[in-house]
Amino acid sequence: MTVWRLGRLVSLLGFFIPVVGTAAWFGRELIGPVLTGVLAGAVLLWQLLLLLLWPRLAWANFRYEVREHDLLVQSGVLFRRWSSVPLTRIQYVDTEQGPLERILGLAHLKVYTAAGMSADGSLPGLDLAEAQRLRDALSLRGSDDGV
Amino acid sequence: MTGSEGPEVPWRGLHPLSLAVNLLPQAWRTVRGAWPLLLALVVGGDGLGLRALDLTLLVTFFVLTVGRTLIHFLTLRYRVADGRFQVKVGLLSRSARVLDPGRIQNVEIVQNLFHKLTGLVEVRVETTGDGSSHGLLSALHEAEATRLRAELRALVRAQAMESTPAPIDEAPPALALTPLELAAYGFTRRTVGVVAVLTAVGLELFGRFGPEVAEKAGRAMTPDVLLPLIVLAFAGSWLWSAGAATLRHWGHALRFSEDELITEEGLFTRRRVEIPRGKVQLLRIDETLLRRLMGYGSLLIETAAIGVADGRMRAAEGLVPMVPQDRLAALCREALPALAVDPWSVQLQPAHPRALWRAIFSRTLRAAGLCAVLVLASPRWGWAALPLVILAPPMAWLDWRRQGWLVSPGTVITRTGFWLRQTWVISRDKVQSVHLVQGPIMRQHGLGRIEVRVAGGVVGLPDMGIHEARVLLDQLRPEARCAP
Repeated sequence: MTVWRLGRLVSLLGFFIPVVGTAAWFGRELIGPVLTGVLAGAVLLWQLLLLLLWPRLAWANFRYEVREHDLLVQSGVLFRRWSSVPLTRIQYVDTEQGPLERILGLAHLKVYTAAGMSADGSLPGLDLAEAQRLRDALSLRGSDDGV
Repeated sequence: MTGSEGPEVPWRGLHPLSLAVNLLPQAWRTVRGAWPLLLALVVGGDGLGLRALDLTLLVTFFVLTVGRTLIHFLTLRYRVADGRFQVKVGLLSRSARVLDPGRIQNVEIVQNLFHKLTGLVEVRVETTGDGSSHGLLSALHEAEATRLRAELRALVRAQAMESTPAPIDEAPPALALTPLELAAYGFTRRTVGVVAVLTAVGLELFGRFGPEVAEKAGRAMTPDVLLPLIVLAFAGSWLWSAGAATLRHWGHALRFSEDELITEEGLFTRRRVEIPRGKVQLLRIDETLLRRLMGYGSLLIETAAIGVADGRMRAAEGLVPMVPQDRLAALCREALPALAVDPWSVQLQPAHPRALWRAIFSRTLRAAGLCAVLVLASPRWGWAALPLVILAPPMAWLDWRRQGWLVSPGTVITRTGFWLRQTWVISRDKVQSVHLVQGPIMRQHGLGRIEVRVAGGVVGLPDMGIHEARVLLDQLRPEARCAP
């Protein structure tokens, strides 16, 4: 949750504030200073709310379970997603660590099948040791790639 | 370093005429890679210094093209050794790849006009993985291509421990298409996008001629001029599409052997695609309204290979442009033996009744958004899109009524669409992962949507009750296939 919160803070400071500021600077000529202020304020307030509430909601809705035949992942706040990845179909498993995750001793586990370039199962914010244990356990299970 | 007991298998190279055959494609690749420079060359000024710069750019372009062709010819080597297909290429950046025969998804043989003139062919050996054709041999003699194809096929069969079946070329075509059917295929393709792009380009050009010309043209665009122009644009794009489809799929023939399906087509560029039946991941059948009324549908056969054709990702490995409706089910069963039912006569499960409201809401919202953008862009003409908003609810209803899905012991079948009816058939033993998605409106209505991923793509089932969707999430696992 801390990683998600810090990630949102970085995007707020590094992206939204500069973009909204620039848009407001040019927009005040077009739609007037009052409306520009209201719109920019609304966008920033919404982002602030997301920063405070969203990571907690995302964390509360995130679950995963390694079952007998598959890895089941539940994620999403507004748009919920349940992903079932059969263990026999797993091609490879990656663990990734960004700078924030390295500082906090966490890792992002990504499970790939032959279905494509994007991960079929994605487990962010795992404890590094748990991520490595899962990676090793899941990597051994693939036997029939169905291709 | 082969590890085999016999003498080392020699590496083979491209035919020397590949230097001539590959020059144009290499030039095109260089143009694509350096188009900003070339654009600057075309529109740049003509001062003395700039002329020298233009000359330098032209010489660089020429040297790069010839150099690339030469390096490709000199460094590309391939062989079949130790039961594997091996390819290496490159001078500064070298790449070597070893393909296991069991990973080969399909072999494609292409012969464009230059190949035809020189008696050569291009061989593409495609596997699952990234977007490159790993075994792309751009210019081989036809006899060498036939030998290589036979060697690869023998390897695949040896690995599958099968007996040698009858040669595939002896199999008569299961379906052969006439030029009229091919023209009908092009005629029934959707061309609204082409017309829209041409219209946008035309408007942009008028703008370039200056405000007076644009204003004059705007005044001249009365309904009695505009309507014939629209009809003409559509007629032109349909004629173009029909001609292009006839040339591209000329002499289309589909053959089935014991373990492969083969398509051959093309007038100027001849293509031959060989797909092992065990590699077929999913089938897609496209039936546009016009095509349906003519009594035809198009069959697309996907494997796990991610192919690149003519510089872009292609839609499917095998395409049968026009299949008579009464033969669609039989051809689908030939391509995918796991299909035990006729997808057109079997009763499919309908979409959930509450899914209708979501369909109406989302379609109307999209149409309103489009209309708003068009009105903002052109207050005079944008309102012409208003009928789209009015028609959105009945269209959503028509689409919803025709949605359906079915999970049979061997396959998953799903269907959507009214204008463009699309039917997907997936072999259940090819399922890679299953996903259940639920948005906020779906949650309010107790709905869920199942997405099934296979190596050839993603297929979504129509909206269903969330409890039913949860059961399917478990049921569609490969291990659950034989469960009662």
